[in-house]
Amino acid sequence: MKKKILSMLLACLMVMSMLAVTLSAADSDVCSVTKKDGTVVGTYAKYEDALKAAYEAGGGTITFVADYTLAGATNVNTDAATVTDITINGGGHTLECGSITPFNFAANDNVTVNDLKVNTTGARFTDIYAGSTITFNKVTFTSNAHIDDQYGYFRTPNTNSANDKVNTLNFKDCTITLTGKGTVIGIRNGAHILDVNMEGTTVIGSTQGNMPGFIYGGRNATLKDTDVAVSGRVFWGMKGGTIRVDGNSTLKTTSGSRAIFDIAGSYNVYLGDNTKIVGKVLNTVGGAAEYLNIYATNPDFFYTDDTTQNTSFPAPVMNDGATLRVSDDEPNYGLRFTSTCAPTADTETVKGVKYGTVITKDTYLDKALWAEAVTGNAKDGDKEIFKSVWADKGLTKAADGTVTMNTALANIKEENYKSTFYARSFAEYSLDSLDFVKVYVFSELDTAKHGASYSETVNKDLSENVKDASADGYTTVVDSYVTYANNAYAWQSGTKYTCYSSKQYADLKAIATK
Amino acid sequence: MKNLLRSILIACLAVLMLVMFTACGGDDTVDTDGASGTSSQTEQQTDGQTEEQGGQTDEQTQNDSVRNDGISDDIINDNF
Repeated sequence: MKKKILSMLLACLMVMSMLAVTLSAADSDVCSVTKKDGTVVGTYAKYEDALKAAYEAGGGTITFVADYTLAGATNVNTDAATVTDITINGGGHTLECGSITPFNFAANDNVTVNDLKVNTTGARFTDIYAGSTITFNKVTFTSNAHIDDQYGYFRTPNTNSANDKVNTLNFKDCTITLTGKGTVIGIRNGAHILDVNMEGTTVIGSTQGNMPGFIYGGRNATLKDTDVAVSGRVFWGMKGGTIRVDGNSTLKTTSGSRAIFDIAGSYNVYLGDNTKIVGKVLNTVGGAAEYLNIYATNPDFFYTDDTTQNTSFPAPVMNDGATLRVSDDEPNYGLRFTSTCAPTADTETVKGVKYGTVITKDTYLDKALWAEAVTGNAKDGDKEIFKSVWADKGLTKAADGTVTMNTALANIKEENYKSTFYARSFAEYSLDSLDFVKVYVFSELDTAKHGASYSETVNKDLSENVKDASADGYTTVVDSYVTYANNAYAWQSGTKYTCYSSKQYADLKAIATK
Repeated sequence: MKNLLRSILIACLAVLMLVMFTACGGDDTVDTDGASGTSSQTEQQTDGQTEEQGGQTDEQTQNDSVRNDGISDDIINDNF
């Protein structure tokens, strides 16, 4: 009997303990809030309450400890005058938003959201007021909402009062997947400036109908190691500014898009060495465009589809290394880079072709301001670190239309005799009747092949231009000469005959042995 | 006797004066000639040097090569 009672008691205890666990889970809080100094503010069962508490604390960190489904509005702060710093750590949890916009911030807020999954079914992801900076790190966004306007899933700023404040949206290692309808990122008031920065991010858009696909009204954007594939009226509806795409990035319009760029302003687009555009580049029905300059340091930047490269214009090709300029005309000596460029077969579309070359020094190579050099804007402070020259005297054209460019770096400073210089030639052209569009296609840069030092080039030249005995064109007697062995140049004493005059030989030897 | 001595003295004085005059005139002449002579020497030296240098230049022109690659370049000056 005692055993029966004991076993029943134990069974009851087990049932009660399970019940306690269940009750505990149901009552558990979703978010904790700490102030900026680390002081605990409290724990909350609702994210929107935690957000309000963080604002009331003057900013702080909200940490998710469980998944959560939004139950109320998130525009809990309307104090536009105060700069508030908020960090939201998702801990890999999911925020189900339904038809409520989860990130609705007042002006001048600085908000960072880390490691969170955000899903909406009928709402935008953001409504951000002027002057705010919002940074998303490792955030996954998914939505099947039909936004159906150009202001976007990420709307900014939500105000009609014009001012010059910059709104900044940063995405790092994020994934944005949209199966609804609407522009991805939009600016609601054209007087505002929107900067968008994406790195390591993937954007997969849905059919955006008659709306711009990716960005509407954005002024400046930097994309690195980012793939964007969207559809819509255009990929990028622009109002003027700078777009920089670098790293392993691809911008792709899917079927139904008119073009990548649809402009109504003045834009500079810089495409890096490993960037690719897939689709039609420009919408010829574009608005009142002033200019669109596309600087492509990847000559293969433009694909008509995933696999077919558009070959409307061949990129220039640099010769390996450099040769020595020796001229009667001043400057008498220099480091000469030579390139060639085949003629385009697309004479119907390509108009107004011009050529040029950019040179930089080894210490600046990482800055990669090749495209900026064309307009003289490749600067480090006030110092121009990539220098460009248009091909003119140094340009020759063969009967088949192939162009050869000779560009010399001259008056080389003694301190730079042993520096390695790199050169890239480029071709500028316009597209058909769109004379406001200029495309700059650069030669490939292979640092193993396309660099040269003045000292080494002079040594090489002198070593190849001496003979043991006097010969036709080699009558100047010299008492020293340079040889190349074991990957180094070495000067020796001895009588040789060179094609240089005594003065030229002395000048060049001074450079070679400095 | 006195007259004889006076005549000899006058003659000696005259000879002395002539010698002195001659000496002075000779100095002037020498100086002038010397200056002219120096000029001549300079001219000779200059001529000689010129001829000698001319000979060297001719020799260099005959023996030295001069290289000009004949290629036109667009120039970027090193301001790096």
